[in-house]
Amino acid sequence: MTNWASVILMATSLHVSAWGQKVVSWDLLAVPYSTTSEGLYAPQFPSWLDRYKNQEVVLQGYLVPVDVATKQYALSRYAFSSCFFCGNAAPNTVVELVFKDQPDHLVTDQFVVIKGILILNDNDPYRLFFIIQQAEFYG
Amino acid sequence: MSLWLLQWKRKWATLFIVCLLAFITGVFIKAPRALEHYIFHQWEESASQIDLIVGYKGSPIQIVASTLYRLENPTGNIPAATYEFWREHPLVELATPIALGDNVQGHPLVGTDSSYYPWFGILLKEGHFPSISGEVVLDAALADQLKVGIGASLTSAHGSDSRGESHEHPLKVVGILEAKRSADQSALFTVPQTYWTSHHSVEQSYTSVMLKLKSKAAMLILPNIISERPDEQGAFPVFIFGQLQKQWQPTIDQSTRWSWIIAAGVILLFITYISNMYHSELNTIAFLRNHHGNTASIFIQVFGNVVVLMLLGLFLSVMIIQGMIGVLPVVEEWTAMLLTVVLGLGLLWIKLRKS
Repeated sequence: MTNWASVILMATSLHVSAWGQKVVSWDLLAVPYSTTSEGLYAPQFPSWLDRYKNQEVVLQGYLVPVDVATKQYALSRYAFSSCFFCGNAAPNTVVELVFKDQPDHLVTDQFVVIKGILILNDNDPYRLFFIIQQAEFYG
Repeated sequence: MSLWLLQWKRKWATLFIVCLLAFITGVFIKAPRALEHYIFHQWEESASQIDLIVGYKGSPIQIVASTLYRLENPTGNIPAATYEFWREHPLVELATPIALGDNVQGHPLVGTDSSYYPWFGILLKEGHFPSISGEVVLDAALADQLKVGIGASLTSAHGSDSRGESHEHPLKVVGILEAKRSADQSALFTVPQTYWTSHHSVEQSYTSVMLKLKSKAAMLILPNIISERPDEQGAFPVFIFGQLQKQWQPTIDQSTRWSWIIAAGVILLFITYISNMYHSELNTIAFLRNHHGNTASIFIQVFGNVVVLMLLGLFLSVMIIQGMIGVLPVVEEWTAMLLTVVLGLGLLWIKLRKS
């Protein structure tokens, strides 16, 4: 399932570029971060991320439920089973999703391809480093 | 007596059969959805109230089950310093300590502070909330069951069984509550100091800390912090229920497929019943034909009451399902039930036209 979706995304990446959407890889989002004196994380966004800032991007990953009542989900680099409690996850391996239209109930670890506007959050420590606004399923 | 009334007297059994078939069909179609709805409702209820529970290193499911539902033993004790750390963490909006491990006549004794009650919508009906060691409050229904009121004395025992080792310090009922969750309706509440006194603890400790975070995104930031803290385990109800949902979903999908097969069988049975009913009315139909009755008037006179009964059965089944399960039928279920009725009536009409 995962491999098939990856192949589809790669196969369609040219088409995606033709429409002006930038395909973002998780390696690109693996930005360095520091811990503030309050114990919060502060990201340091490299300048090469500027070309993706506030742009429509495409990103693939696994869905993680954050709040079921308000249907908030995040996109994770790693599947939940190999994610948060195994030490792989970090604040730069998850992206906050703000859906354009509220989706029906989704399944944890569902592999999806998301399209939306990438926001680099460098001023709100209560939110994730990356936020995809107007998110919708791609393909 | 008119033919219409005569038909009503003859077809009283039809009402029963139509209702039964519609009900069975509805239930079979509805059951997986009801299960799904129930699971999601539980998930939403728990996950929307608690963002994170921190307990002693162990199973996250055990921490959630013991803290939220008192279905399991706690994983262990955490020092008061852990509670203080999380209470003061900048990502935490509210921290409530929980002390578990004792029971009163088999009902769990929950040691917590005053922030617990508004968190779970627990109201005080009588008396006051516990403020010093040994004071307890409980739901009104549980107070009736235990036959205790304000001022009554109770004794706690170690563990979750009333036959556990009894504690020498008596408890005093100081308030009667109105709790919403079933887990809270069957528990007694006290201050954590009661635990420290009855267990002669030198160090203050809890079994877990419930946290409400300042943002939902913080849930994805904190695991990294928890993993760096020794002897602490973070349990995120939303993630746990998400994982459980992932396990349940294939079963629900499978039972949904089976429910449609069973429903199709019931519909077939229903059509057969309609066909048999037509054959039992052949003499009446022939009589009305000889008296120059057209198809429409014969249909109304002979089967008019069946139409009413079918619609009534459909309506009743929907009401029963709604009453039993509490989930309104969705469009496809209405379509399936209406299709069955239309199919049955269409069959009668065609047979009548051909007669």
